[in-house]
Amino acid sequence: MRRILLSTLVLALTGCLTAQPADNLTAQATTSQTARQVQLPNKDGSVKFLVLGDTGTGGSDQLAIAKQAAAFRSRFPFDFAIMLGDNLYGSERPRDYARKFEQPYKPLLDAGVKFYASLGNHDDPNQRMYKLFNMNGERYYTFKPSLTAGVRFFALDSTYMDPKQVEWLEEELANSGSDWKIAFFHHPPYASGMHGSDEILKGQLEPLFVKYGVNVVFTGHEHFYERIKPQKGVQYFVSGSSAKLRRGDIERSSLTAFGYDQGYTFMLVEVDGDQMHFQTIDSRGKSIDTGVIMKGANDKVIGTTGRGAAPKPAQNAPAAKPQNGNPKPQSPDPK
Amino acid sequence: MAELTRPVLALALSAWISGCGLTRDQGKGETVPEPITPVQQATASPDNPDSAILADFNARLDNYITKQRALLKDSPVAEDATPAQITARQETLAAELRAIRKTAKQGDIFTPQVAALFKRLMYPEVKEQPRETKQALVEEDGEVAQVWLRVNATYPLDTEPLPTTPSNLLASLPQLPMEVEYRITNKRHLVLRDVDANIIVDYIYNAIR
Repeated sequence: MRRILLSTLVLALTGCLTAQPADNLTAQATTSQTARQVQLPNKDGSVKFLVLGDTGTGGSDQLAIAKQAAAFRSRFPFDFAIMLGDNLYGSERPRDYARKFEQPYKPLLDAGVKFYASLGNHDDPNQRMYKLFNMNGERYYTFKPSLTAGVRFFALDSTYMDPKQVEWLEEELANSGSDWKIAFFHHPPYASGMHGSDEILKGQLEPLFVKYGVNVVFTGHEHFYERIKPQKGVQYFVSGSSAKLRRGDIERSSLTAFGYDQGYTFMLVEVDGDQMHFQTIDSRGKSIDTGVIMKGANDKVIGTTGRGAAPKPAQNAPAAKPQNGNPKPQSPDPK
Repeated sequence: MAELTRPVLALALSAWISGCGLTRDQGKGETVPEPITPVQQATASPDNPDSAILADFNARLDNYITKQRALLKDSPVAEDATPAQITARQETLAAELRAIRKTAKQGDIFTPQVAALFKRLMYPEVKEQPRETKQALVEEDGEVAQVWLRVNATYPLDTEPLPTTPSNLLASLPQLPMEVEYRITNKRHLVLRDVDANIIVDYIYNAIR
């Protein structure tokens, strides 16, 4: 009880109990936009990781994000990265693995950063054999980045959620004694883009997430960044713009805590005790969104503070779709 | 004779259900069935005419999987392979499968009876969905996988996405071993795809109505 009260107090002091409404998150020049400024606690012993989604183009935008991620690592020494699917678009010959993965992330790979991949709809499941994706031959798997940190990750194959996988997930979640349970996969159960929320997937996974206390879910597929307001005690992120971008694609809905569809992004995350800090950064190294996810004693997310600060689009960028202020229906288009 | 084969078939089906993970061990050696799906209903009772069709499907599939596994055993690949090893294994396996299945044709596994049953099993899942969901069933990322279907042909991953198979459809069909998977292409065709070799094993035209 004391833990909950303390967490609530911290949240109240830092501004809000739930994510701020999107309307408040207007573009403004703030200190958070100072290039390459790490806005995470960066504590010794915390779990630090990188989040990349929809990466495998081999194009200049992927390279720009990879470069920023490597630059940030010199100040925020994350040990591993999670990949949210669509790791290799198009052809998957050996040269494609090199051009679309090994070369862009060479500085990180050389520094010993481990990449944990999940499969997207553009990925051949044979990627599960690829050493540098650390999937150990499995389409879905779980791992703990450290034996002591109390954080467990669940990488799912949302392109093929058959009953076997659902059963596996339930068993693994039930047997996980971890404080933080983090799931990552490709298709978003909640999103406010062209495709909207994947209702079928949500129907299968959300009851398990809620029942077994999954705290945070990272997904891609939609080529933008969106922080969803906590849903049933679970914090969802869509982060599918690490190499592909659909400008102006977010139709802000009642689900949206903050959204950014004007540039390529990646995320840095730090888990420290009952708090998970996040910072979303664009290809110029500027912070787009930062915040803290607070976990209560019952393992549910009791609130997320966040401060999005979307920079103005580049001069040559196409104009964003007008945001008409009409929230999408509660059950947006399923994907 | 019929009296003799019926219990044998029931035993075989029961073993298959257990093997597919359709039942769950609750500890203390007690096994209870999961909620009954149409597939389970069919396999639970040999009197159900669908059970014979499903048994036939499983026998045909088993025949394929046995061959595939034998070939894979001869050319194992480490779980920490390089891209070159992954590609080589995939291409070698595909070539070997084509060689031993030279005469394979559409309907060898998805026989007309199996195809009719699968369409029937999937229909409620499709029928009850709103229009947007139906659209989502057949499109991926705004794209539709346009695949020229031919048994033993390579699935064109270079140019086409691998469409997500909706979980409700997967739950309505018999579960598959990990070597093969169901995919929906061209908005309506159900494809049985070899995951390791990336080849089309069989397909059902217009499986989604």
